[in-house]
Amino acid sequence: MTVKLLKQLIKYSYNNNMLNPKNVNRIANLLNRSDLKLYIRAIKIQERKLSVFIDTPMNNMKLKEKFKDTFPHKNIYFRNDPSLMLGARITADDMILDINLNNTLESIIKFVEEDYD
Amino acid sequence: MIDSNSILQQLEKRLTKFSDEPKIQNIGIVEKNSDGVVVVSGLSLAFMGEKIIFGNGESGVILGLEEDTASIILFDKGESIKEGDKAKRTGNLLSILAGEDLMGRVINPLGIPLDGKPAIKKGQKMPLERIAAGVVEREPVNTPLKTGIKAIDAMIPIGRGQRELIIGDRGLGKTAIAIDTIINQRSNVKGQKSNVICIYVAIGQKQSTVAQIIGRLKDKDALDYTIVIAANAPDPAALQYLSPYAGAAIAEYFMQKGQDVLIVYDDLTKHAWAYRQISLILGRPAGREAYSGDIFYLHSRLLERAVKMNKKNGGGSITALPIIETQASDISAYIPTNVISITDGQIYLQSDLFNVGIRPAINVGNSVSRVGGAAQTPAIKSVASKLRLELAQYRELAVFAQFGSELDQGTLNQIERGKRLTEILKQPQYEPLQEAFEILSIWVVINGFANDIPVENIRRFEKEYHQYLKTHNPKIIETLSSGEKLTDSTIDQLKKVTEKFKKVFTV
Repeated sequence: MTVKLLKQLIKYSYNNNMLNPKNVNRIANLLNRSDLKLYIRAIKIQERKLSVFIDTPMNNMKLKEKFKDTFPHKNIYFRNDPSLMLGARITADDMILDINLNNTLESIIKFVEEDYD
Repeated sequence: MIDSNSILQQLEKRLTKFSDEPKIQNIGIVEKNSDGVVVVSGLSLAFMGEKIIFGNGESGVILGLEEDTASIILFDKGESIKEGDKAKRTGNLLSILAGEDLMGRVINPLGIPLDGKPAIKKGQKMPLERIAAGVVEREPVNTPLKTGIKAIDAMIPIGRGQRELIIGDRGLGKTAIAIDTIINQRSNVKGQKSNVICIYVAIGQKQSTVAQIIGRLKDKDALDYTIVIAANAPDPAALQYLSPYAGAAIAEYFMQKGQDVLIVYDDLTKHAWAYRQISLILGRPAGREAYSGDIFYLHSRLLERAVKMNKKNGGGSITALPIIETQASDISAYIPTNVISITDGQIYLQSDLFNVGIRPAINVGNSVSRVGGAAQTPAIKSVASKLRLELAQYRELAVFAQFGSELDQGTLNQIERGKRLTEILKQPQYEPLQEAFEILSIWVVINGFANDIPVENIRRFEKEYHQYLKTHNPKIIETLSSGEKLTDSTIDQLKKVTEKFKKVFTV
C-alpha cells in the first residue's frame, strides 16, 4: 500500500474529526494482514494528531471550558493528575507543554544539581 | 573576608541563568524495537544525530528520519523498550566531554569510564560528528612523526597530520606497529611530558586483546599520555559505529589547543561491519558486499578530520593510523580499496614475509607514504634514499639467484648486502628506536661495513654497535639526533668509529 493511498483511506475513515465505524469496518474488510497493520498504525497516529490530553490536579470546570475554546477543532480529553500540584500539562500530538508547579520544582532541582558543585 | 552582600550578589547572579518558563517537550512513541534499532513516531522537531532518551533511561541517537517516524540506534541492548513507550528529545547533538582528565583513562564512546575509576565530569563538550577543517586552516605536512620502526621511518615516513593506513591479514603485527608508534612518543627525558597525545580506538575487538594492549601501554609508561576508547565485540553495533568519531572528537579538542595528536583506529574493517549491520536493520538498500551506499563517506568524513593546522589556527595536528584487516591478502576488496584511496599512503604487511621471519613483515613494494617524505629529517633522508632501491634490486636478484645460475661478483655482493639489509630492518616488538640509532643501523649496512659479518650475527652486531657508540662517541648520537644532514666530517668520524668497533666485535 502506498503512502498516498493510506492517507486517502485515513481521510475516508473520519467524519468531523471522529472515526466513522462504518467506513473503518468497510476498509478493514478489504485489507490484507500487513496492510491492515499499516492502517491501524496510521489511525493511531491520526488519533494522536486530533486529540489533546489535558492533565490537571483539580476538577475545575471553568478551566475546562477555556481549554475547549483554545483547541476548537480537537477532541479534548481531561485527566486527573494530583502530582502536578498546580497548573496543567497539555499533550497535543507529540508536543507536551508543562505549565505546572511540579515542573517548576523539578527544573529548580535540575538547575541546582547541574550548576552547584 | 567576603561580606554578605557580595555573597548574595553572587547567588543572585547564578539564579539569573535559571529559567522558569513553561517547559515544551517534543516526544515520540515507540513503534518497533528490533536488534538495537528503535522506530519512533512523533518527534516531529527532531534532527539527524540528535540524542534521544527513552522512558526507561536508555538512550540512542537518530540515524534516520522518515515522514512520520525516526529510526534510533541504541547505546544499550534495549531489551526493556517496548511498543508504546515514550521517547524524549534532548535537543543536543551527540557529544563527548573532552579534557586533560581523560589522559590515561579507558572510556567507551559515550565517555563512560571502563577502568573502574571515577566518572569524567570536567571538560569541553565536543560533538562526535563535525565537518573537518577547511583548506584555508590547513598547512602541508612538514613535521615527522617518528614510529621508532626502522623500515617505516626510513622508507615509509609518516608526517604529523598524515593519514597512513596499516593493512594486512590477521596476526601479522598491524596493532603492534600502532602500539610501537604510541610507545615511541614517550619523552626521552624522564619526568617530561610527551609532546604527542595518543588516542587508541578499539573497535569490535576481544576484551582480552584490549586488556592486553592496555597492560602493555602501562608497562611501557605510555598510558600516561594515551586515551583508550573501547567499543568491544560484545558492545552494541551503535557503540562500535560511534567509537572512531568519539576518538576524533577528543583528538580535535587537543588539536584546537595547538597540540599534536596521534589517533589509531583499530580497526576500520570491523567499523564497516558494524555500520553494515545498522544499515541493514534500518532498511537501507544494500550495495556491494551488502554495505550501504554511504560506506565510503563513513570513512572519508572520519579520516578527513586528520589535519595539520597552520600557525594562525594553533598549529596543532591529528595524525591518523587506521588499520584494515584483509582476507587472504586481498587488498582489492571493497573496504581496503576505499580506505587506500582515502589515506595518504599505506603500510602493507604480508604473510609470506612474516612466515620467513621478517618482522615487521612490511612489503616495501606495496607500501607507500604519499606526503611523509616532505616531513622526513635530512639526516635520515640522506641514508635512506638508497635503501628502497637496494632492497628492490636485492629482491629481483634473489628470485633470479634461486635458479642456481652462476653470478658475477658484483651481483653476489649485492645479494649479500641485501640479505644484511633485510636482517637489519628486522625489529622486535615494543622496542622502538631513536632516530639516531635508526640512521646508524641503516648507514652501517648501506655503506658495506657489515658485508663481512655473517647474516646470523647482524642483529648482535647492531646491538653492540649502538652500545659502543653510546659509550664511546655520544657526540655522534647527539649530532644525528639533531636531524641535520650528515656532513663529510660526521661521515669520516662515523667511518673511523665503525672501523674501531669492528676490531673489537667478535663474530
